[in-house]
Amino acid sequence: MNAYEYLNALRRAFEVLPEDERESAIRYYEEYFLDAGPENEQQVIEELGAPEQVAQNIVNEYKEVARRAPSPDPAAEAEGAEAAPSAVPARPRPAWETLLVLLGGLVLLCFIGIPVLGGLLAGAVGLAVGAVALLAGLGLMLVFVLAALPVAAVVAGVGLCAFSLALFFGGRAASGLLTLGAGVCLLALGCMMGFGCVRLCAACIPPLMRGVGWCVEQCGRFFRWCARLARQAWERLRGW
Amino acid sequence: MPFPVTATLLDAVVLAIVAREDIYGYKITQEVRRLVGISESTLYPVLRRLQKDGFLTAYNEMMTNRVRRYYHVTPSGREKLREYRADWTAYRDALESVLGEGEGKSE
Repeated sequence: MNAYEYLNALRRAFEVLPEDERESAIRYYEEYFLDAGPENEQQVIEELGAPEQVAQNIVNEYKEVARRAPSPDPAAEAEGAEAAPSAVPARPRPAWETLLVLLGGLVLLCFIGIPVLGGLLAGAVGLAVGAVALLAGLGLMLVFVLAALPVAAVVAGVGLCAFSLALFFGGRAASGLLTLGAGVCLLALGCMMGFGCVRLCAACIPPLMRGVGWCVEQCGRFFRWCARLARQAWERLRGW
Repeated sequence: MPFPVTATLLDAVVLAIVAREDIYGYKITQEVRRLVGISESTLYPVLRRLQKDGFLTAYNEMMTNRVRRYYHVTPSGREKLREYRADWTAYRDALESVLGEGEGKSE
């Protein structure tokens, strides 16, 4: 394992902490490695021990400080730093109280939480799908219009040129020339419009894709935030 | 060093080290290890606790290619250190009276 991997492992283990605590802790260890110097990297990793352990100590310490009274309790202090990493000094609660809370939470969830949240979620998903469909439809329409015009012009131009040939063969040279001219003009116009449309698409589509990517990323962040919230709630419930 | 260092003692040692002069994390660890020889090689929880209690503050020092975080003792930190020193003196003298060389009646 190198410093980079070690710090990543720490970062993952610190995810249970609030953002500023996490940043502060990670920063300390990043600087620690920097100050130790690359030549001491392995030694540092050895001395620090398993990143999960290091993180556990810090998380326990965070919980300890969170519930500490203004005057430091020497017993809790000593226990905090010396106790086994998994031990968090918690007030034992009677089993029936925990059960009651769980039951109440379950009832709340069933009758209020799930219907409300479910409805909200369904509504949000529906809105999202609708918005995407609308955009896609508009986009397709636009593409169609953009593509159709030049194609129509080119086709009309070719058609007129062919018709002009028929006129030439039919002996109507003047009309034929006129028609040929019109046909070539339309052909040129169609080609120009075609090029213009291609350039337009090239300019618009990458930003559009980036926008879609941004939306997807925001959704990902939102879900990760939800997951973290849920995990914190669970942690708090467990430590109760 | 066979005697375990309690959390309180470690707090006091770290506080005393920072009180000498402003110092950064890695160097504190080196110093603590030199003085006490503990296997506890990470002092982040201690530093954080001392900060939360208001005994230390931290600031950033600009270096040539990076930033380094230094710790500094607050006035209330110095007050706490005075308390620790008083406690330590009593503790040390008590232990010395029974563990110290030349004391006791073993012959």
